Amino acid sequence: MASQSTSILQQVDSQLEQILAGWNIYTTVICIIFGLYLIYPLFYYADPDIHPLLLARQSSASPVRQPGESATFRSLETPYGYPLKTGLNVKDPGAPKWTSGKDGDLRDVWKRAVSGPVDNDGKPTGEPGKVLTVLGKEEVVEHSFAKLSGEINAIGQHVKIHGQGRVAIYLPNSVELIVSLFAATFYGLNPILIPPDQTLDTLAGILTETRAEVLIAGAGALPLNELLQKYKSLKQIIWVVERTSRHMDWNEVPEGVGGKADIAVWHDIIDEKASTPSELPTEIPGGAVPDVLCVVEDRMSALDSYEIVTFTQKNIVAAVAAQISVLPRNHRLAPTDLLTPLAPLTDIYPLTVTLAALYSNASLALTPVSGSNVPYTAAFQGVSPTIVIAGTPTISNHYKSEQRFQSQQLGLSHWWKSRSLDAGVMPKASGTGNLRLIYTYDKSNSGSVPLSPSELYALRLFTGARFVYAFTDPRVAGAVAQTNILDYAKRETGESTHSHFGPPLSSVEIKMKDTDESKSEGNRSVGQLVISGPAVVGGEVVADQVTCITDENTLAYV
Amino acid sequence: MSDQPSFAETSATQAASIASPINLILFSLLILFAYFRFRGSPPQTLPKGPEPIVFRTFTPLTLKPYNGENNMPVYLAVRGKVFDVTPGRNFYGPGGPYENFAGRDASRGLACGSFDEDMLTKDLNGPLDNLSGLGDAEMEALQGWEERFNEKYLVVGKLVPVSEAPNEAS
Repeated sequence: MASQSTSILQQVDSQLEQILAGWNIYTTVICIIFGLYLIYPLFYYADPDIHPLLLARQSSASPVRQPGESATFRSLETPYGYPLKTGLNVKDPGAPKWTSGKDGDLRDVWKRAVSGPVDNDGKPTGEPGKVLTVLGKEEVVEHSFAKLSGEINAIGQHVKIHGQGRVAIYLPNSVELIVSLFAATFYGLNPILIPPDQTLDTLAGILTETRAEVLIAGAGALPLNELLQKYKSLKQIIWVVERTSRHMDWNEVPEGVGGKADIAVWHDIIDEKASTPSELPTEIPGGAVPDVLCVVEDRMSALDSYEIVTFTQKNIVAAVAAQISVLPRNHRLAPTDLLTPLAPLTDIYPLTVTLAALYSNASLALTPVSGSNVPYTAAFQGVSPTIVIAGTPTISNHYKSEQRFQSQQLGLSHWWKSRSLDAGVMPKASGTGNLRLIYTYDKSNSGSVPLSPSELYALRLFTGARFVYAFTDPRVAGAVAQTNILDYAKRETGESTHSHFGPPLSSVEIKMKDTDESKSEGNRSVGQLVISGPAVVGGEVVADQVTCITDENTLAYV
Repeated sequence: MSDQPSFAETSATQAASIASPINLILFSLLILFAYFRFRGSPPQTLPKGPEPIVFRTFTPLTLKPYNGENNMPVYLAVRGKVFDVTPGRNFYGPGGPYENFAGRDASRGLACGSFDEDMLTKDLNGPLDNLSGLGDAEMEALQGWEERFNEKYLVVGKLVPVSEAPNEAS
């Protein structure tokens, strides 16, 4: 009997044979391409910079919450039940490894910067960094820490001889600002950091309210006689004179002006005391380490108003320690880094990051072109920094200018780099120098310029650097919360124009108080932000901001 | 001389061979794989943890239901602090050796090291046990127990007598 019509299997078989009969050279080519396409990732696959699940929950919540509040959120370094980071853990050289060190204060930051990186026994393991002053593209002046220690001694002794009291520092970012701050700390005087570009009335008001007795300011930055008329208790003035103006005689006081004020010039003081030993005083005359006062400008109100915030050394040192440990181990501040602060160092956040860099023996490049709104390119004149601190206006303007320039370049390389970024691998930037990290920060309730998630994403591609977007409050030293630098995802946070701010730092803990409109319930935490911890002035502060916690346990505006 | 195939016929056969079924199949597979690789995936998420427990002010009456029955968590009170001992359900829950403590004030029982009924306050509406009549050794034992509880379990509330009960409006 002849076999039935061919079975299904035989039909499939003959179809397959027909298809494969059409094999030709083009098929071979396509097969080779397909094979290469499948094998290519085996050789070129890059692990993401951080495990994605570590970004899925970036802070820990407490298991219990009080009624009317949300749970308390803390950094993963200091979970519930463990103490928050209080200080630098400064150990005496030669102390056994397991001893817990002291909190330390700003003097320890300077001592570490001077000595260079040291190991447990106090033996130096590397060279100390340098401080560079950038005066334009061609002129970069280098200062060694040993020389700066001598200057600290000179200024400190000069101020001490002519009377004690509070030192108001009204300077742009410069080596003189750093020296004045540390001179005040070493010699037991309270430094008062005044942001630049104040009107005369505001400045006089600040000096009156803080009862400053010494003023260190840029020569010619303010009309002296009018200031002395408004504020008569100024005992000493030190002018910081630029090199180009040093031929003029700044000691001369116009007729009929402030007889009690003693006027001196910075470079004269340094030159006079050139023979001063650069051994810094180990004891502070007067006992306690002085508090640092910061003047915070209140931009939300119509008037030129300000607020004086007094940070204790413990606040600042806790914040500095948190800044050092918040970076992932392979991306920490190191002696190979060069930090350029574009944001004014009179703001507590740039100051904290700069102190953290000093403690980590990085080098500093200070440029007098500093402020919230300076152009981004000012950081790259004459130096090639690896880390930049800038305010959000600077970053936002840079984004807008780059956007216009790059809109023609939306080609293959841009697409390839954004795919790399989505996969969690930072793409290498093309020819933008050594920049590896950009710090930028938002101030609570001060009408600041927002940075949206897509802007930050694009900026990573334009600059080739990782970003830190921090949320700060004027009464908290350092930041309240700061993004993880290895978090590249473009996470939209609802209707807010701001990107999220990452997990809280290890020196603070945050919780949200219920308000009339926003109440925390179940797993959703929302409300008015309350910050507490060793870095907070007075222990606990209620920020004037309604925030929420995202699904990744990061802080965000509602 | 044999006829050469015309140009039209050559290109036609060439087109046919490029677009032969096997080529089309392989090519579309390639496009498919490329699409899935380049599509990208959303960031990984973790499921949410348990909701945080709201700190509550308990009275002996409101604390009593929390003894592990009916799927309730197991709470007990030591010197005014209410601990969530649900992780130790085998001991403090129903059927465990210390089940008398569940949902009650266990201070006197822990001080004396006894699980008898008469260690618990009889009148739930009355004042709390003021621990009178306990010597130094017992107070020390109670202190030790309280420290162990602090380290091991979560404090989820405080215990006050009915007379001081808060007005829990919600």
